Amino acid sequence: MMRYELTQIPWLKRLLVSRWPIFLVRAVVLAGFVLTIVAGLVGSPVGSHNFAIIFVWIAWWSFLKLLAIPFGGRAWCAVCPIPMAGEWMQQGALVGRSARGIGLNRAWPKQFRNIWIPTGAFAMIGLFSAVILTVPRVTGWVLLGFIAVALVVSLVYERRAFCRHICPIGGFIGLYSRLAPVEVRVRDRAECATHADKTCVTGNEQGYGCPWQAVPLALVQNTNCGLCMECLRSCSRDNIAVNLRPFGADMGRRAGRSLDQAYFGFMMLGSVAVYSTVMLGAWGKLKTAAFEVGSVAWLSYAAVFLAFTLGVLPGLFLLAVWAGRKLAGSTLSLRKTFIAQSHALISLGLLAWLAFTVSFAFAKFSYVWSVLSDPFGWGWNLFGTAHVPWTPYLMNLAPMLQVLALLGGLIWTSVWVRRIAQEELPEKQAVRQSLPVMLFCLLFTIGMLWLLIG
Amino acid sequence: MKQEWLARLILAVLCVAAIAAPLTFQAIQTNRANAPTIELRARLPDAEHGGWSTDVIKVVAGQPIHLRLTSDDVMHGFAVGQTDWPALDIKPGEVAETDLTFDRPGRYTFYCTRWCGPNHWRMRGVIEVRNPSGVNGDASQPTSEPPLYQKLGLDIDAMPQLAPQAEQSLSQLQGLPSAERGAASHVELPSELRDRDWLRTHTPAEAFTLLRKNVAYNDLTDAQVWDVVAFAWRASASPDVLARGAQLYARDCAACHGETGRGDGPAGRDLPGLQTMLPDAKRGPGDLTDARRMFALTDAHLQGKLLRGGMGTGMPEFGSLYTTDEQWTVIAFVRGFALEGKRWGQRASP
Repeated sequence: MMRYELTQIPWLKRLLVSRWPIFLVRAVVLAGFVLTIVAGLVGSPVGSHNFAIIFVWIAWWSFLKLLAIPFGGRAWCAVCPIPMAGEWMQQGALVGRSARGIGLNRAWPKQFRNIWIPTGAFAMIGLFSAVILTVPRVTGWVLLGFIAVALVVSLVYERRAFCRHICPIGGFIGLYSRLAPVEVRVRDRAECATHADKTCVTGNEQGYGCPWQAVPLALVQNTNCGLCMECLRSCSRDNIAVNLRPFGADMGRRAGRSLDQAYFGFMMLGSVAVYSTVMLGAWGKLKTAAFEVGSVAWLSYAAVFLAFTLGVLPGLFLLAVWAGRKLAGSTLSLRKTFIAQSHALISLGLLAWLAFTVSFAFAKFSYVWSVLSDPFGWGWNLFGTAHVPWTPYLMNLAPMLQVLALLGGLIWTSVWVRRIAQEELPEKQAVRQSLPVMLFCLLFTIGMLWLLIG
Repeated sequence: MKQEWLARLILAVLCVAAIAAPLTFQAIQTNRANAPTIELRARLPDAEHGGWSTDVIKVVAGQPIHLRLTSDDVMHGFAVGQTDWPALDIKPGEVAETDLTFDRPGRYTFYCTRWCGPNHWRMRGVIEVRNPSGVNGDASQPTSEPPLYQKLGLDIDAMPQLAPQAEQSLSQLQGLPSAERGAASHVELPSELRDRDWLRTHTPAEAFTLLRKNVAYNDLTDAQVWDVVAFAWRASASPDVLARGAQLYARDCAACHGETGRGDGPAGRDLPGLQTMLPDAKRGPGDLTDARRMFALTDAHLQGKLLRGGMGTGMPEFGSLYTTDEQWTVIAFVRGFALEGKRWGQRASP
């Protein structure tokens, strides 16, 4: 498959090898993060006038889904400020290479070396989303909680265990980073094979061993690569490349297909459908139920949310896979086929999230101007934009983009459903195996079109 | 190593700045104000809490204060009772600011002027204005003139009944009286009905009886006499007064008494109303279009109800909010519901 090696460009490689550029971006983002927490905790309780709500859930969250993940994969993880304090403690340095870090450096427990915890964490965010996304103080505490958990985990466990095995946003980004057109890979696998030291894993004076606990030689898909560039620094044989590649280049990789990844995908798919229903739908009682945490109505909402994302959706998909097996006369195990086919849903999920994001990002982006001038809702007007009225942008374009995204996702996913089936089955059987799964994707797309466009 | 310390310095400066800069800036902004700044936050009141972040503000007469008002949830309003300072809207998340100077010591009520929720009427607080010397004056009311109903010694909890003649004529009346028809009849009003003080101390039913007893009006039917009575009350209030009355009614009364005065406002549905005193009465706020009830009450009686509140009926007191002019203004407007129905209100709308 076609690749363009970005690290061939000398100045870019120098930028990536140096720790300073990433550090500076990260430091600024951390300051913004601290400001966000302060704004959330002491600023106006009105979400539309608080930096914490507007910058986290409108600006950043939209930026992540519309640009950062589709084009940069885990690029956000490289500059994410949440694990910064913990990583500093672990490594003992911010921009240098030190061996004086602190922490117990324990191995992450084997039974949790998967993404079941991020799945649960994302479910928790979903259950409390109506409050987290609208109440600045809750957003402030949640962000503070993230930093605290990341710090504690970093002090107990080795490397970026929090990012890889706990962070729900990390799970989200990791899943969809497979579609991104950026990757870090080894240039020549034979070179690695003859390299006994494996400094990209163990580290050396130039760089740390992969903080994400990945083995670059074995890296065939993006999920576990945080684009931190440590391997670029530590590889003594200059055998690491940062490549541009076609979108979705990891989709054909069998590595990383597992039940936890499959279920995380269903959690994402179910969440976007539920969010679209609750936040964009016209059902006031549903919004109230999602907001009234602890009430009977909320408990019902929580039960439906969990049942839909973790039961109904995977159940219907399982039914489709089972029907496909019957149609194709396949003798492959149902579990294996379920896991493999669910991998194709990654593209459907990302584009559904993209369509969902378009619906509120364009409509609410104008709030950014007023909170830039008055981040705490204290009546400031720093840049003269505090009174910019709410103005929905590009609302004529939004439905078109949503239709394109959802239909694009359907087509892209259908292509991969068939290709994945072809991995194990002959052409005709593969088509039969694919049909019910494609029908599942079609129904999901129609449902999203109905929810988002009406 | 130098680079490492530089990185740490950059990180520390940025993080400290992220916390300290906004807090310092806010402190400077607050200190820059020429007068002591009071932050007042408004939030939806419930049965337990009044809605304002503080219930009592203490100030010194003659010294200006700077108020910064914010709302945590919905739009609220801010006004100071018995003053002519315009009400201020407090939009959620925005800061409304105003400077106030109280010339006279006393207790002033500040209150919400926007119908923010079912417990809106609980959104009240007190501004205690004391003399610069700090001596006396703390508890004195800004207005000392006793209201008319007190001067007349009215029992405002009494349920006056209509005289039989008025009762009978009303039962035969088709619809409500009409001030317009009364005006069109070109009947000269007797001196009593041209006297505002007489109108405030007598009921429409008494005005009807007065006209019926006067031979000069023998040619008129009962219905025409009621039209003349309506005209008399209508003529006693200027269009400006009725327009202002419509504004006050919409702001303070309509949520319970309803837009057309029928007592069917959404906020009044759960109020006990007159059932507190009359078990057979219907629940909810009084029906201001009910001619039998309204024609048996004087304006002074209505003033008493307005000033003191309903004592168990659910009606709050407006005595600490309205100036004397505002009291008569809203009563003049309210009269229209039974004396002419919707049209009075419509014409009076600004």
